[in-house]
Amino acid sequence: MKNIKKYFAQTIVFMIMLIFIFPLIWMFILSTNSQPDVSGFPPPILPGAELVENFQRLTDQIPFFINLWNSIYVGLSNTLLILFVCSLAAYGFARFSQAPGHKWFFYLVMVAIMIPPLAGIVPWFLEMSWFGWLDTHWPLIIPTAAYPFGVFWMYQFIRQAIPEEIYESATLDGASEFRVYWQIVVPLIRPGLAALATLSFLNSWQNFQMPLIVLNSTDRFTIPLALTNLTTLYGNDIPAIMLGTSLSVLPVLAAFMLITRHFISGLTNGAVKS
Amino acid sequence: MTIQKHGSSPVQKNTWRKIKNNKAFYICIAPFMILFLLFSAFPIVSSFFLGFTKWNGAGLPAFAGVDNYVQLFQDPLFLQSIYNTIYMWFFSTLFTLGLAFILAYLVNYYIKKAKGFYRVVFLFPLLVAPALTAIIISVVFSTNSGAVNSVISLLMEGRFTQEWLRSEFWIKPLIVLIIVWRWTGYHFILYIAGLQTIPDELYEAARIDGANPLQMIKNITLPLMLPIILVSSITATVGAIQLFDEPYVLTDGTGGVGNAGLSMGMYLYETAFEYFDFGLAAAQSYVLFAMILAVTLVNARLLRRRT
Repeated sequence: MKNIKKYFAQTIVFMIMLIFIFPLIWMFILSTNSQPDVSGFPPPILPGAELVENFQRLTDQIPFFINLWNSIYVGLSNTLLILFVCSLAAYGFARFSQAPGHKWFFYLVMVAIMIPPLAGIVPWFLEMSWFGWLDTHWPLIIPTAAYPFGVFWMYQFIRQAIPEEIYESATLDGASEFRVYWQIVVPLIRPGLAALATLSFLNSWQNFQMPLIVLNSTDRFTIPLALTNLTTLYGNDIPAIMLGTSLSVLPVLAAFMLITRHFISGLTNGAVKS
Repeated sequence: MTIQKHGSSPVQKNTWRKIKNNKAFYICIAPFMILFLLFSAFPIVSSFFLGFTKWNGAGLPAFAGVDNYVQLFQDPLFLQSIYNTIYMWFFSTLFTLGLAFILAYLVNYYIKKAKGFYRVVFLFPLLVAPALTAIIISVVFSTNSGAVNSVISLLMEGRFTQEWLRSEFWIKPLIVLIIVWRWTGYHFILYIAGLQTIPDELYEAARIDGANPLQMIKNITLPLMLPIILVSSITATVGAIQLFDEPYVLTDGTGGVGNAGLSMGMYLYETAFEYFDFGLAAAQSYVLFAMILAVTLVNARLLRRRT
């Protein structure tokens, strides 16, 4: 009886899992089949041999590699900036709890976590235009560097990983506050930084609305924008669209398999703790 | 006897000294604070004022009182976008959290070896950008050779050509489906983490008292999981109220037939960046903000009552 229940439960979970990964598998299959096959009936259910042709059409229709590079470059710079800005602020909050205004600044960070970015989207856009940042990558790199959740999370991490005595002995040794940050704190919070990095990079990689608002030239598009643009312009070329989608998903899936642990802790930590 | 000069009472002097001694604190938080004030706080505050003006970007904003808000709540399209958003929020949250809970429960209590495998696989859709999940689902549901129509065609031995994407009824369920597909894995992982904190002895004791599995879920699992369920429902809600990428891509920026897929976020985008009615758009963004604020406050109250 107990075993039947167990197999029943396992079968249900397995079936749901199949439904969940089906769209992704089908995406890979379609990206290797020819255009007539894909739009015929019944559609192919096995990989085809048209990968190279599809790839050629994809790169003819949009500057795919430039778009890919844009996404990588924006994602990396944004992530590095977030890591620096957030961990430095978190170090400040963790170490100098006696500083005047500490409490109020920290409240501000907590409130900031709740603020939906859409609430200020119109003035934000006008700011970008005043700065002359429209149709550049700066709006995707600089403004999001102040990531309040990142500060909160790094703060918790630093409080956990670094006992107060370390600061005291470092002060006695005459190490400056910034040397302590760079040479003691940063090496000790590497796991936290890694998780924050995966989260930030993914946020940037998947961002659609901000690039849609600020970017105009196809040469500057990031991947999600380039592929939706491709869908609008060449909606019938499903193999090329699916190939572009596959190529932008694959690196992330591969990276994810390598760092599953960091990634999952990056996703769940904040929610489960609070 | 000492005479105190104006503006430097001992208390003030003390504060100044404290600030000077903690110079490093202000330097550490400065990059964050400057970026935050410039790119988050300032836009949100000025958005509030902009909401009371008429402005198309040229010249100066003209004060208009509450005209924008009056106009909004008389605009059937805006009301429809609120209805659409609430519809999609409600069903996506219900199904995402429900499915995630069932999966987490089954995996945690019935699956020993493959637990790690499922944790990884259910997260896959989260790795795909929302805009791209919309593209993928639109292909799966395409009319002539989409997977869904093909399977139905084979089952009923005739061509089935439901136009899912051009259906006024089905566009919202499709968007809900995309959200569920994308987010179930995330909440599943939260719930697994939560379930692992529930000690087995509790179930053991309940079993000895003769409780059946449903009673155990109702009286042990759900109450203990409530804080995590609250957190995950607020995450889902705040995300759903700002819904933009999925409906925008799925309807190709149009809102779908009869604007059935138009979310508040999309309508805000149209007002601001297609009609350049910045005052009206700012008012819209504040309606959206107010909704999120209300949800957050209710949630904070619920959480506080529990602890």
